[in-house]
Amino acid sequence: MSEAKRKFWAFAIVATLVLISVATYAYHEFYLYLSVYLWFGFIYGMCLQYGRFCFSSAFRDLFAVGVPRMAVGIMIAIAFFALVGAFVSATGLSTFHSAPIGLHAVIAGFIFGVGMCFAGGCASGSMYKTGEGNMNAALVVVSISVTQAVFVDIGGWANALVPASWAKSASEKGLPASINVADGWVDQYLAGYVWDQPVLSFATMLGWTDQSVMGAFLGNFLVGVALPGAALLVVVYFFWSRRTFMKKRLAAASARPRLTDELAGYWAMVVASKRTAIAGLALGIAAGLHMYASQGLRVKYGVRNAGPLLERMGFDFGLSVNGTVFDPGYWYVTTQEAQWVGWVFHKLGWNQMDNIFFGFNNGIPNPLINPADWMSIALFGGAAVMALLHNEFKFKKPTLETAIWAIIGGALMGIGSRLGLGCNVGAFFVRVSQGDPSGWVFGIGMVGGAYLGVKFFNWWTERRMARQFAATIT
Amino acid sequence: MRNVLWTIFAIVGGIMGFLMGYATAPMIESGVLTGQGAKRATKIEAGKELEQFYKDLYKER
Repeated sequence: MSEAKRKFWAFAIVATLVLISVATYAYHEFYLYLSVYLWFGFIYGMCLQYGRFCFSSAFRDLFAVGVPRMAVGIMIAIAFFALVGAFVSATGLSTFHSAPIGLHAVIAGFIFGVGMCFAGGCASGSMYKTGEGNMNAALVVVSISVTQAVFVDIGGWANALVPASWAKSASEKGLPASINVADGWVDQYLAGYVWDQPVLSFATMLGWTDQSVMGAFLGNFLVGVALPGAALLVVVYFFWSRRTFMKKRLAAASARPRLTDELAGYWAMVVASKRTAIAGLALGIAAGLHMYASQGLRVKYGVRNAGPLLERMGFDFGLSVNGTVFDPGYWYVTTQEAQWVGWVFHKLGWNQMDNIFFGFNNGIPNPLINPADWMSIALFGGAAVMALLHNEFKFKKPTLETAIWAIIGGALMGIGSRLGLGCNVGAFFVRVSQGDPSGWVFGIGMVGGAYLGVKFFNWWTERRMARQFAATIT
Repeated sequence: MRNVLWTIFAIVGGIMGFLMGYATAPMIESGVLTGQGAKRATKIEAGKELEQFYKDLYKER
C-alpha cells in the first residue's frame, strides 16, 4: 500500500470515529458515555499495536526460544497500570471490583493459557492483530466470541455434570425465575460455586480499605504488584537473561560476577523491553483515566451503570433483569465479544437471557449501542491506524491449518474466560494491577497452560516437519 | 508519516481533553473531588461511666 493511501485510511478511520462521536452527541448527550469507551478503546488499540502487546507471543518467546523481552515488558506495564490505579483508588474514583478467588481461577487460567498458544494470540493480541489486517486473528476473535455465548447457555445434558452442592447453593441464592438457575452448567457454577468464594484485595488482607492511601499504595501497589513483580523479574533474569548478559559482560575479564554486574544485567533486561514498556505506561495512564472519566459521567448523569442511560434513550431491549448492561468503566475484552454473538443468537431465536452471564449480569444490548462494544470496535481502529502509520498493515488470509488452530485455541480461550470471569486482560492484567490476588491465581494457571501449549505446539510442528521431510526424501 | 501520527495524537488529545473536562466538572460540583460534599465523621462520645468501665478492665480482680 502506498504512503498516500496509508495516510488516507488512517485519517479516514479517525474521521469516522470523530463523526460518530459528534453526531451521536448532537443527537443525545448520553452518547458521550459511549464515546468515552470509544476513544479509550482507540487509545488501547494504538498502544497494543505499538507495544506488540500479546501474552501468547510473550510466553512463546520465553518458553520456546528463551527471549524474555515481551514478558518483562508486560510485567512493567502491569506495574505502571498499578501505580496509576493506586492514584485512582486512593481518590475513591475507581470502578474496579475484585473477583472471587479460588481454585477455579487456576483451572480457568490454564485452559486460557493453552488456548492462546494454540491460537497464536491472546484475547487482546488477537484484537490488535485483527486491526493489522490479520484475518487469522479475526477468526480467533470470532471463535472466542461464539464459544463464550454457547458455553454460558449450555444446559440439558450438561446439568448432569453439576455437583449436587453447586445446584443446592445456586438454588438458595434467590435468583429471579427468568434466569432458571437450575438449567445451565455455567449458571450453577457461578451461583453455586464462584459466588461462594471469598473476594479479597491485598489492601483488605492487610487491614486497610482499597480507597485509603495506605491500602492503595502500600497494600495493592507495593505488596500486591511491585514486590511480587520484581521477584518474578528476578526469576526471569536468572533463568532466561543472566547467562547471555554475563557471557558478553565478563568475556574479557573472565571473573566471577559481582552484585553490580547482576544489577546491571537486571536493569539491561528491564530496559530491553522499551517498546512494550512505553505502551504499558500509556496503557496504564489511559486505563486509569478511563476509570476517572467513566466515574465522572456516572456522577453527572446520576447512574451507576449504563443500563439506565440506554433505557432513558429508549433502548430497553437486552438489559439484564437488574436493568444493567456490561459497563466495567475500564479496559475489558471478552465479555463484550460474547455479547455481540449472544445478541445475534437471541435474535435468531436462541433465548440468551435465561442465563446469569447475560440475563442477570451483562445483558445483550444491540451492539450498536453497547458501550463496551464501542471500545472494542474503536480498538480495532486504533490498532489499524498505528499499523498503517508504521507500514505494518497487511491483509493476511488464514490457511486451513492455521484456521483450525485459531478456532480450537479461540474456543479454549472462550471457555477459560468464562470460567475465570475474564481473559488475560480482565482476569489477569487488570486484576493484578488493582491488587486483586485472584489475578495472580489466574496468572499461575495461565503460565502453566502457556508452557504446556508451547511445548505441545513445538512437538506438533517438529513432528509435521519430520513427516514432510520424510515424504520429500521418499 | 511522523507528522500524520502527531496530527492524530493532537486530535485524540483534544477529544480526551474535552472528555476529561466534561467528567471533572460534575465531580467538582458534587464534591467528589473537592471533598466539600463529604459528611463529617461521626463523633463518638464516651460517657464517664463507659470510660470507667474500660479503665476497670485493666484492674486485677
